[in-house]
Amino acid sequence: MSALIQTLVDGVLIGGVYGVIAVGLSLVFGVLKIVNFAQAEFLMIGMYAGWFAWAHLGLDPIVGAFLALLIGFALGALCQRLFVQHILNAPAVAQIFLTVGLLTVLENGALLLFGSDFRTVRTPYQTIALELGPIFLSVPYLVAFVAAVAMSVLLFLLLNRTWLGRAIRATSQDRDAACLFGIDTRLIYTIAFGLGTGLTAFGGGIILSYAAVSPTAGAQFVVLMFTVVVLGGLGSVMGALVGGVIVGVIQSVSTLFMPIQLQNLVLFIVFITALAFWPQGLLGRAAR
Amino acid sequence: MTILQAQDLTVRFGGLVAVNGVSFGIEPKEIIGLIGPNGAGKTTLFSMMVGLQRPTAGSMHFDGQRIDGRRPHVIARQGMTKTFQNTALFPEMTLLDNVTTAGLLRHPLREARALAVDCLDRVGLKQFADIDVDDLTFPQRALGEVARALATQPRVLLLDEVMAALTPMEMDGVIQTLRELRDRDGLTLVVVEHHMRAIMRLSERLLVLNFGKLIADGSPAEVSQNEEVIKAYLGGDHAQHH
Amino acid sequence: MKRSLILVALVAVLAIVLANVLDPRGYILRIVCLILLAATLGQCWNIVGGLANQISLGHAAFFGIGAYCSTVLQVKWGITPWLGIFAGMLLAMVAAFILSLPTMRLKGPYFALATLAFGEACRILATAMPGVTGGPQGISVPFVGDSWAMMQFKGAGNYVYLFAGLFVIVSIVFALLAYGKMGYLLRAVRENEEAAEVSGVNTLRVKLIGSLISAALTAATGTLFAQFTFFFDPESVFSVAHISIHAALIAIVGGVGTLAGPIIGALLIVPLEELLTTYFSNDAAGIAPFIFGLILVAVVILRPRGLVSIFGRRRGRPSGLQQRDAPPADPAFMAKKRAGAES
Repeated sequence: MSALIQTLVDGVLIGGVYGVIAVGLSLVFGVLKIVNFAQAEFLMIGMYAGWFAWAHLGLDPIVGAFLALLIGFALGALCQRLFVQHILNAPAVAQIFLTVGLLTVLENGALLLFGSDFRTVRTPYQTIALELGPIFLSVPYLVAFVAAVAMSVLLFLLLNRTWLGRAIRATSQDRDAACLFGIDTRLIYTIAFGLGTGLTAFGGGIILSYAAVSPTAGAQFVVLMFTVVVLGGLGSVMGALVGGVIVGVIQSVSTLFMPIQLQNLVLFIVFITALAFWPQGLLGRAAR
Repeated sequence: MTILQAQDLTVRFGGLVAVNGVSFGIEPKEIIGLIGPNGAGKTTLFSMMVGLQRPTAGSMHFDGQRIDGRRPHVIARQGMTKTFQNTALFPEMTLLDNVTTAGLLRHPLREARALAVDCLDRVGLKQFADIDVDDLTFPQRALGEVARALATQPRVLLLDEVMAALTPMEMDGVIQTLRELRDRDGLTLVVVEHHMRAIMRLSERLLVLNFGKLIADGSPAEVSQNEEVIKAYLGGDHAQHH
Repeated sequence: MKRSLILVALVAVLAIVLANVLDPRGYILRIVCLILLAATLGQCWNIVGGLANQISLGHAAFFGIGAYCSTVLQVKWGITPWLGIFAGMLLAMVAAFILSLPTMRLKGPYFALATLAFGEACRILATAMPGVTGGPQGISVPFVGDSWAMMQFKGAGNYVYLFAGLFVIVSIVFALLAYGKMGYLLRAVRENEEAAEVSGVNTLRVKLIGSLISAALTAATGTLFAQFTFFFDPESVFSVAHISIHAALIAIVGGVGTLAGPIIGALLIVPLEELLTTYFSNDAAGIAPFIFGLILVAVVILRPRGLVSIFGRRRGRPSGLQQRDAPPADPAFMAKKRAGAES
């Protein structure tokens, strides 16, 4: 029984982070209406940014994650301006292969720049766990979770209490109307895309204390991110967070029944089924 | 023997009731006009009849067989199809290829192509057979849709505003063609049209929808005197035109 | 279409000529095999991605299934790959059918995502079943030396016949699908599913047929690959980057939805890849995929409509239905029809 509760707790902690990692994807879909296959590569970029911040500036990963956010934002905005911009109204084929191409470029670009070795950080709290009765709360997980929640709150405030947030929401609901109200939708697209990639990069930064960086670090998260977003509803920010927790729990609990390598298999099956039978997710819009 | 029987058909989209308990029966070879103000639910009703939309409630029988909820190609095979209001010809094909595709429902390729040429001839578009759909005018596309629908060799044909953007003379031509489809080929037609003059001349019977409900079902003369219909359209003048 | 078929035949003949003229253990013949392999893989993808407009990012699943099926049958029971290849094709069709159930109604990117997940799921399964597949360590085709019976040779020479043969077969299948009755149906489904349904096209069945055929042929390609390389592991045959995306890249660069597209793409991509890996291999792993990613982005940006409009537009239409050939209404048929209408 306590094993179950332990996995549940771990699942929630990890899931909160998944939520923040995936919320960027939801944002990009909600505003630009495209499925960004390259999103997970920004996780990897965020991880490298955080790692370099730790290695050369001595910054704790959580602090470094904010740097990662900025770098992810800048790089994403650049990608949007240079490339994504052109296919916003193009057929699905173009959208898919542009972002798949970007995925390939980013992943292999990282491989060329940084090599294939795994890098990790060392933090003072890395191996500490708090005891709460029979449950162990791993401190790195906990710290990342808290950072994830904090960022989610900030995002919520941004989207709902600032002019920019309103402009973003208006553009995602009705682009033409937003234009008519004087909103520079091209700029909003760039900002929203950058914000989305920045958030994912932030997610990469905060998991540094328990995950290793490598050029392929992002690729492992591709299907996971999409599962989170489909469960939560593409385009829904709240949904991404809820979806994240669900995915975290599913992943964690499945380790009780099957070898760890099959963990993601369960996820993939959940993903395909969710897409097929539950396209609107919990809170968001249809995927069909 | 009714060819099409609809019983309490209802379609609900969340809170909006687009079609509300509509019932009617259609005999073979009737030409029926389906009219009503914009948003009355006519196109939704058509979509339901061909299987693109599942009814939330109610049933539909074609030739005695239940067809509500069945897929459009099955209903097409049984003998009912429709044209699309904003025209939905396959954009990257020629007109002939479009119509041939429909002909493939019941014939192998060679015969389907021959049938396609014939259908195009019926609607007067034979000379445009090799033209890409993109290069056709809107009225040509509307008629092209009719040709394509004909290639499925239907028994009941639902026509959704095929006479939009036509001159009065062209309209007369189309009315003539549609009558021939009934007289020579035994088709049953249900026609949605906003041109009052055209629909009054063409139809032998009118179904009037308003806010999803069937508010009148009778001859053009009866319907044009119907108080509720007049109110729905907010125009007493229309009642005078036959 | 005729021009494309001639090109396909020419390439096959040229390959065979080279096989007889050049050193069978030489490098060039190996490249010829890789080119044919890539073109075949691309053509298989082209069937669903081009003709049916169902963008699959999971074709590696079928490739891997083919490779593992024939190899495991050899390893465990000594069954010749000539039979194993059909077992692989069958298994791939079953997998494609199962996958189609939840995914058939999905559109564009969502369908692509589902196929991606499926491909990855297959990779994980293969890694987790060491008893059957040898697990992450990979599996080897048992070496018996030069043998037509067991479909393996010491030099690339004889493999050329196999690869050329499969390439021609897949191209013929593509042509049959693109230019016959199925061509019309596939195009209709691709361009407007609702209109297609209402016109009597069973869209789900058409899509399913395309995907089953594509899956089977991809598996066959996988088997040939296994016989050619002798050793492989889940990472290589179920690879998203090197198989799934590669297949699409080859078809796209050459022209999606066209008969000659994949061979043109293969002729451009494979030598480029070889060049890059030979000159940069130790200093810069990943240079080839990096460049291919750039190429993909470039193709999309410079011709976003070109990805789609290539298969339908005036010149070079794949369903190069020469409308001028449309026969006049057959008099006998028309007379019969009029007689029928009058009764």
